[in-house]
Formats: sequence, structure tokens, C-alpha cells
Amino acid sequence: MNVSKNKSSNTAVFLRSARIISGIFLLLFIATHLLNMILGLHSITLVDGMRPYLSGIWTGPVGSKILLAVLFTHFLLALQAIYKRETLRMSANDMVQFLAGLLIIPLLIPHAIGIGAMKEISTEASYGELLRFFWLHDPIAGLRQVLLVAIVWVHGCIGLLIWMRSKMWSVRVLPWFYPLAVAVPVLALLGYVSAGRDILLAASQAEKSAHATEYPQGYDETAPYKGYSLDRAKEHPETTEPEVDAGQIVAQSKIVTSRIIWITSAMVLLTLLARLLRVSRHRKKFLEIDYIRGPIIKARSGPNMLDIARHADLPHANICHGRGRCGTCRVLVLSSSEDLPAPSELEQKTLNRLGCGPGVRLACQLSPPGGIMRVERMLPADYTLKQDLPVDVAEQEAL
Amino acid sequence: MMRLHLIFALAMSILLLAWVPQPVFSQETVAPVEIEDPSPNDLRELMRLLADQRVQNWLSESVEAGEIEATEAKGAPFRDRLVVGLNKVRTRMSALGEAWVLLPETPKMLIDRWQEEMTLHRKVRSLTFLVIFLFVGAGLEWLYRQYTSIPLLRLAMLPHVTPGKRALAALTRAAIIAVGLLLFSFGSVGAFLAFEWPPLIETVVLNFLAVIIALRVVRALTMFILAPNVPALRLVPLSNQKAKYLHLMIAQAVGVVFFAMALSDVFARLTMGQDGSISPAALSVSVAAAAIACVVLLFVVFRSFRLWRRSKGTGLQGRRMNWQLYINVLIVITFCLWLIGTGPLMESVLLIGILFPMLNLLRSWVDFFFDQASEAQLLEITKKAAKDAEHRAQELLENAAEDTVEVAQNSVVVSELNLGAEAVEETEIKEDEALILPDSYGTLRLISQRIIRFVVVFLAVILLVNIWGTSIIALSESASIAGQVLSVLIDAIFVILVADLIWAWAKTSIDKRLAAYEPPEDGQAPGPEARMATLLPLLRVTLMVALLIMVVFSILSSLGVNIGPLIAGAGVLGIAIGFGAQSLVRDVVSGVFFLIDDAFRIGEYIEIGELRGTVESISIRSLRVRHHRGAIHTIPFGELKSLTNHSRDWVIMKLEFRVPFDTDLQLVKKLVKKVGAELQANEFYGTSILSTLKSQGVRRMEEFNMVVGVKFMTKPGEQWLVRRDAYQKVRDAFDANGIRMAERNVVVEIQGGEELSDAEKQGVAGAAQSAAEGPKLPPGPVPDEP
Repeated sequence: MNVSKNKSSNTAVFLRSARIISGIFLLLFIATHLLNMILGLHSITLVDGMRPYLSGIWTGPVGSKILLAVLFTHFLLALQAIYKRETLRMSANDMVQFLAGLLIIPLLIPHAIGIGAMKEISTEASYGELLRFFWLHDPIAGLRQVLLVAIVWVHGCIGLLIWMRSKMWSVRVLPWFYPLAVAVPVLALLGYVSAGRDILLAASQAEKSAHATEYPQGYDETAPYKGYSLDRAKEHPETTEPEVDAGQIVAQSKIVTSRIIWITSAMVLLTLLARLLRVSRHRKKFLEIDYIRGPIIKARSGPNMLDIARHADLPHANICHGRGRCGTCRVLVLSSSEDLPAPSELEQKTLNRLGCGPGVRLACQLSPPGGIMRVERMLPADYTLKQDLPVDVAEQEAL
Repeated sequence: MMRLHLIFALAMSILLLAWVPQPVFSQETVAPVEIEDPSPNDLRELMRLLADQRVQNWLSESVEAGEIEATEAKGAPFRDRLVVGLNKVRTRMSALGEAWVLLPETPKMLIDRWQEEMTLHRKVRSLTFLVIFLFVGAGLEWLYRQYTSIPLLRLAMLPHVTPGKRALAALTRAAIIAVGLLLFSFGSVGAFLAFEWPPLIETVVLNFLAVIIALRVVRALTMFILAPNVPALRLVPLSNQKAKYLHLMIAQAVGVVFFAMALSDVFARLTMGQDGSISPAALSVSVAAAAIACVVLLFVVFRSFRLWRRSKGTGLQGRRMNWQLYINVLIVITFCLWLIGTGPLMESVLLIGILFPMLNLLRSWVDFFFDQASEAQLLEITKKAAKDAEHRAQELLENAAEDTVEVAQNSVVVSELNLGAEAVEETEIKEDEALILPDSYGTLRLISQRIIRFVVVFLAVILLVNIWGTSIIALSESASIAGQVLSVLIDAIFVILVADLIWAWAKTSIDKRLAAYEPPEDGQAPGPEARMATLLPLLRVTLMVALLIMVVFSILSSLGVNIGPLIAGAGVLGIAIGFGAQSLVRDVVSGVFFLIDDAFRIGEYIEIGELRGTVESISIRSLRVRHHRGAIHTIPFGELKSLTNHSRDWVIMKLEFRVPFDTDLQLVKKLVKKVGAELQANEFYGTSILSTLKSQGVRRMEEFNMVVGVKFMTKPGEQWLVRRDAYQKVRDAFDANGIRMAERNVVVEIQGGEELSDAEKQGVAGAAQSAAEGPKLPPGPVPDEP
């Protein structure tokens, strides 16, 4: 909360808050789309009817520009975070978020460009049209879309939850947030399935009634159409639109898509390479950490203490997953044979907020240079903010 | 005591159970049911129905059907069965040959068929559905995990010492994970079932959902056993890294097998003919899938055993190699049997083949489980000892440092080292003590092993019956020799398993009690366990005989031998012996009750009527008492009416001193008190004095003196020694303080006899002498004291 202020003085804190703010912005964008899709459980017409109030709010000229800017910012910030990582052996949660983040790029860009192209061709891309495209004409795009929704949501939720967990107010909010976080994508996907079934059913009925009725959307209904085995995937619905330059636009958008995918992939690869270079420059030293009331861990220097503990399967409290936000991973360094690096501004800020004395460090920010250390975990591994709640409630009541 | 009652109750209930069926049978046969004659109306109705052509037809048909069923149930001759089985194998072989011939065209055929049934769109769509349903299931499970992650973490963090706690923690963890899995399957399959699908999509999606769920079930199971990340909950002796590796390997193997099964099922359905036969193409696919699965299994076995070999030295390498060979052979044989299409035979071979390593593994696993628990207990003890020692060393060090502030740094270091060494030595001693602690889980270990063996064998038999379906039951009911042998074998196995279970439990618990009994040292009163040393062997023998008889009778009865006469004969014999040996039986039974009453123990001083002495031994029938002068009395328990025990809790002893009338009683009291304190302070018997010597004042007045009473209370058997010293010390104290013990004296008073001469005085004294001595009495009985 208070870390998001004071931007100019502290770049690390600023980058961190920028990442979460842009992330929340993007998650909101997706949430409105999913909420819109939930209505598919009722009917497609309802989905399209509610569109201006839900997913439609982002589609203005200004809105889409802001969205693109935020997306790009978030991408760059993510690259920065990858670059800063000391080790790629991370916890399951982080690994899922990392991989999901990587997968988003090739899944999202075709969709985004496609929508852009559609907008250029027709005035507005309606859900009915899009769903028909996904289910009938290009199921691969449909599958991609489903994967995109699942992955984006997982990525976003992990980030949001990690941020929320380090906040005091989350203790009361989280139990209500979890069901919501599951219900929204699940219901949206079920809405997608339900709408898809309607479309497939309508298509088979149309085939049965021997081309008697015309399809209002104007795709080629005279094509041979056997049950579910419609096989005209390569065609885009846009091509059947009576626009003159539709085909050109589609071809152009494909080129743009592949180009963007190549560029972003190259950026990710370059970042990974740069990280490798940065990490390999460190001279790895032998490190031995003796935990009070715990084992002695032998490791190589480089990763931070939280990662070292995690690799050794040593339970360690870390509510914010090593973002340096919550301070629950703090350790008391009793002795160290080598000089420890001074706390970074971000670490110092959290330590000051918690009112910690000298010798206390955040395990997630401290990368020991080697030697023999003797430390004590200050909080039990099963620590939750709930244990602090009574005080908080008392404060609330006093106010 | 509780244990004893329990054994009794168990034995009684088993006896009851053994007896119960017979009255039931007799009731069935005896109970007469009054049947009235049918009324004329009923008869007419019956005649009408019988005359109906339809009813006649139905009757004849059902009679024929009944005959067919009866012949089927009786079981065709063994040769016919064999022929049927061989024919099956033959057709399977020919199908395999056909598949082999058609192998080059198979991929194309399958692809054509696949394309025909599943266009690209349909495939992608079913994949889409699969993704969505998996997401639904995963979402539900994730939601559940959010609420259970903290309890799971706490389970992993707590130290689990006793086997019970450890098993409970592992089970709780498994239960929490299993509920998540259940939610996952519920979410994914439930969402899938909410919609209607074309049959092929349903098969494909459902098959792969099933594969994923089954794989996750297996993973949950291996996680329960291996606990890859939590050493505290791991149930097998493996390091973190090895547990992780094995976890992965098993998941891979199982995943490949399940995937192969699902794939061959899909293809079989895809190309299934109208009559439900499997096409050669599908057969070749399933054979290929099975072969791949087989190879993967062999590979996993190879890798796992290599890991195993690496994990420990060269200790049991030969045996482990044998197991590896065994498992490999088992896999290959199973594959071959599957290949020639002998389903039940393959499954039985697999089941029985798995059963033995399973039993072996489970036994060593239980052993390890309890070893680990004992070790943990030991560790706890030594840790505590070490902490104590360290603490003490620290304290000493601090004291030393305070005392020797001026002493140079070196000497402090030296003293620290010394103290450290001392502390370490102390710890080592404690460790030694801990090491000789008895295995506190002996009984539990044995019982768990038996129970697990019992359950596994039981499950295996049930599975076998399931595999063979009704045929095994029909066979065991048929009159053929093989059927007879089978049914007898099954009965015998179960009876022996149950008897073994009971016997193992009873024997280990009895033996444990006996082992805990230590015979009392000389001069020490034995504890209450002494009588158990008498009773328990008796109980053990009785139980063994009873169990043996019951096992033999059960097996005899399952063999078809009528055990009624045997039991009756045994009953008659029992009555005859009972009458003949009435007093013997009375002795034994009353002995049991005397022992349960804890009326006497070995080493106690008792009194039975005229007889007294120390209990020297207790047999089933009689009691042996040694008189303190050496004579031995043997008393049958049946003769005991009442019994006085002189060796329980405490004894009061009263002493008397005769002192002259002019004695200072206050002084006496003071002196007795002093002597009492001295006695109490005695290093040999002071602790046995419960209430030391104290004066009770003047007990009575006699003609020449006063009688001062003193008393003390001691533990039984100690009173004689204390009395001896008490007499001596009191006499000495009186002597030192001028108190004489009263003697008989006669004061002769002579009127005006002040001027008697010495000779006359002598004469008078001599005359009074006889009066002072009193009448001569015969000597009293010598008090009986050991």
C-alpha cells in the first residue's frame, strides 16, 4: 500500500507496484470478458446484448490504446523480473506463473490481431459471429482461445493472490475471493461450451433441413456439411464478407501476427540469455546455512535464502512468494563468516515497516555470498496473517 | 488385569460362536409348520390354470431352462472346459496371425477409419472439451487446496514420533489429498456428464479423463507412501532425492500403461464390428500398445532396482537381483498370457505373482515403520539427555568462569573442553541406557504384521473369486475332488489365519508380561506381578489347546467329517474326568481365584489355620509354605478356607518394660523418644520404619512395678530386627540415666526390728526369698518367631 507511493526514490519498489497495477488492469479486462461469456449459459443473444456494458467498455479508440500500452508495460516488467531471477528452479506456484506468462504471448497475439482485423473489416465483432467462427470454422482457434483463457486467468490469479496475501485486509477478503476466482473462468468456459453446443446443434439442423433456411450471417451454407464433420477450417469468416479488401487485411494481419510473435519470442530468449550471462558471472561458492531448530543446509551461493530453503524442502514462511512485500520470510542472522550485502532499498523499506532490528534480513532478498551462516527463521512456516488478525480487528473497532 | 479379562471374554465369545450354529439348525428342522388343506376353490382355480395352454407352455419351457441351468451349475466336465479354453486360445492365435498379416495396412486403415469418424474439427473440439473439463476439475481442486494448504503444511511440519501418530498424520494427509482428487474427478467428469455427446467423442474424452484421474489416484497413493517432499511423513526408508525419483518413475510407468489401455480401447471401439468382435487392426494396435507398456515397465523396474542397489551397500544384492528377475519374469509372463487371450488366467497369475512380493514388502515395511518409531523414541530420549548434559555443562562453565575470573583465557578453554568431554561422556552413557530399552512396539509390530497379512490374503482371495466369477464358486460346490479340495483349502486357510492372528496376539502379550516380570531379590517382598508369573503360562497353554482344538474341528467339519459325535464324546469324557477328578478341579479353580484375589505372593509370611510359614512356591494345584524352622507344608488350594497374611503393608509391634514405681515417667518418655530417633536414623532398617518407637505411658500397674508400653510400626518382616535394637537401646538408655528395670523385691518390715543384727537380717531375707520369687510356674510356650 504505502510502498506504491514514493515512486521516484525507489526503482525496485516502483517496478514492483507498476507490475501489479498493470497486472490488475489486465485481469480486470479479462474478467469483464469472462463475465460476458458466462451469459452464454443462457443464450448467445444475451451475450451480445450485454456486450456494450461488459467487454465493450474496452473497445473504444482510447481504451484499446491504453490497453495495448499496459500490456506492453506488463510484458517488459515481466522480462525485467525474469532477468533479475537468481535461479530458475522455483516453487510450483512460481513455475506455473512463469510458464503461463510465456505461453500467453503466442496464444494472445493471434486473437488480438484477429479482433483488430475484424474491426477493420466489419464495424464490430459480435460474440455470435466469433463463437460460430471458433466452434464451426476454426476449432483450432477455439481451442487456442480456451487455452488462452485458462492460462491467462491462472497467471493473473497467481499474481493477484500473491499480492493480496501480503495485505492485512486480505485475511477477510480471501475466503470470499477464492470461490470467485474459480467460478468466473469455470462458468465462462461452461458458457462457451453451452453456446458451442447450441451452434453445433443449429448447424446440424440446418444441414438436415437441406439448406432450406438461409443463415443470416452469410457464410456459405451450401457447402457440404456432414454432421459435425465440417471441414473448411482454412477459410476465415471474414473472407466471405462482401468487403473488397477483406482478404488483403486477413493476409496482412497474419503477417503482423507472426512478426510480433517472433519479436516477442526473441525478446524473451534474449532476456533469458542475458540472465544466464549475468548469473554465470557470479562465482559460485560453497555455502552452509545452519538453521536454529532446523537442519544444516549445504548449497552453492547465488540463489536467495528462500530459494535455497525451498530446494532443500525446508518449510519456510513466505506469504508473498519472495516478492519482498510481506516480510514473513525474515530471518535473524546470528553469524556469518563472510560479509553479507547490505539490504536493498526494497528490503530496507519492508524491514522498516515491520520495525525490525539489526541482523534481521528478508530471506527472499538476501543472496548470501558463501561461507558458513547461522540463522533463525523468525516466523513459523505455517504462519498466516490471520494470526495477527485480532489486533487488526481491535483497531477497526477502535476506529 | 484388563488384558486378562479381555482374553477371557475373547475365548468365551469364540466358544459361543463355535456353538451357535447348531441350535439354529435344530430349530430349522424341528419347528413344525401347520399347513392347512387347500380349500375346494383353490383346487378348482389350480385345475383351471393348469388346463390353460399358455401356462402349460411356460411350465415346460421353464422346466427345460431349469434343467439347463442345473447342468451348467453342476459344471461341465473338466475336459469340456479345457476344450473351450483351448478353443478360445486358438481363435485368439488365429486373430493374432491375421493381425500380423494385415500389419502393413493397419496404420492406413486405422487412419482412414479415424478420419472418417473423427475429422480434424471433431478431434480439436473433443480436445477443447477435454481442456475445459480438466480446467473445471482443476479449478474446484485448487479452490479446495486454498483452504487446506495450511493444515497440510502443519502436518508436514509437526514431529511424528510414535507409529500411531505417524500413520495418522500420513493418513490425514492422504485423506485431504484424496478429497481434492475426488473434487477434481467430480468437477471434470460431472461437467462432462452434464452435456450429451455423440458416442465416439464420449468414449475418447471419457477415456482420457479416466486416464488422468487414475494416474492422479496412483500418484496420490505413491505420495502417501513416498512423501517425496516431507521426510517426516515418509513411510519407506528412502532419501528425498530417491523418493522423488521413484515417485516420478512409478507415475511414468502407470501413465504409459493406462494410456495404452485407453488408446486400445478407443481403437477397439472405433473399428468394432456389428457383432462386437475386435478387428485385426484394433488388435494390432492394442498389442503394440501393450508391448510398449511392457517395455516401459521393464525399464522402470530396471531403473528402480538400480536406484535401490545404489542406495545401500552390497548387503543383500543377490536377493534383490532375484526380486528384479522375478518381477521381470512376471511382467513377461503376464504379457504372454494376455497375448494368447486367457483373461482370467492372466489376471490370476498377475495377482498371485504380485501377492508374494507384496507380502514380503509389507512385512519389511511394517518392520521399518516400527524400527523408525523406536528410533525416534530413542532419539527423543538421547536428545533430552544431551540437552540436560549441555545445560549442566553450561552451568558448570558459568560457575567456573565466575570463580576463576583472574585465570588466564587458556585455562578456561581447557576447562570448557573438559566439561564438554564430560558432558559428551554423560550423553554416551545415557545413550547406552536408551539402547538397552526393550522394544516397546513388539506386540504391536507382530499383530500389525499378522493383520496386514490376513487382510492382503483375504483381499487376494476375494479378487481371485471375482476374476473367475461364478465358476470358482460352482467348482467348490461341485462334487468333484478338485472342488472339494478347493473348498477345504479355502476354509482351512481362513481358519488357520484367524487362529494364527489370535494366537500371535495372545502369545506376544502374555510373553511380554512374563518378560517384564523380575523374580524378587532375596529378602524383598515380591510385587503383584508374581502371581501373573503363575497364572499366565497356564492361560497360554489353555488358549493354545483351545485354539488347536477349534482349528482341528473346523477343518474336520469342512472336510465333511461330522464333528457332533466328537464334541459330544469330548463332553462325556469331560464329565467323567470332572467327576473323577473333582477335588483336583476344585483345587485348580480355587487356586485361580486365590491368585486373582492376590491373597498371597511368593515370599510372604502367611498363616493357614495351624500352619505358618513363608510362601515358597505356587503351583497350579497347591501352595508350598516353608515354616521358619525349615519344615515345608504343602496345602492344596481346595483346602484353603481362610488365610492370614502377615506380610502386607505394615506391622505394629508392642514392647513392655517393667520399671519401679518411683521412676520418672517424663524421663522415660524422653528417653524412648530419643531411642526412636536413633532407630529411625539407622542406615540399614531406618527406611523400613513407618512410625518409630514411642512411649505409650504406663499400660498397667502390677504388684511390684509399673508396665510402660512402647510401640512402633514397620514394614512387614523388619519388625524383629527393629525390636532387637529397640530393646537393647532402651535398656542402655535407662541404664545410663539411672532407671533400673524393676525386679521382684520383698520389703520385710519388722516391728521394732531396727536393732537387728546382720545375722538376723540375713535370716529374714532368706525367709522372704521364696515369697519374692513367687510360685514356681511351668515354662510357657516359646513364642513362634522366625
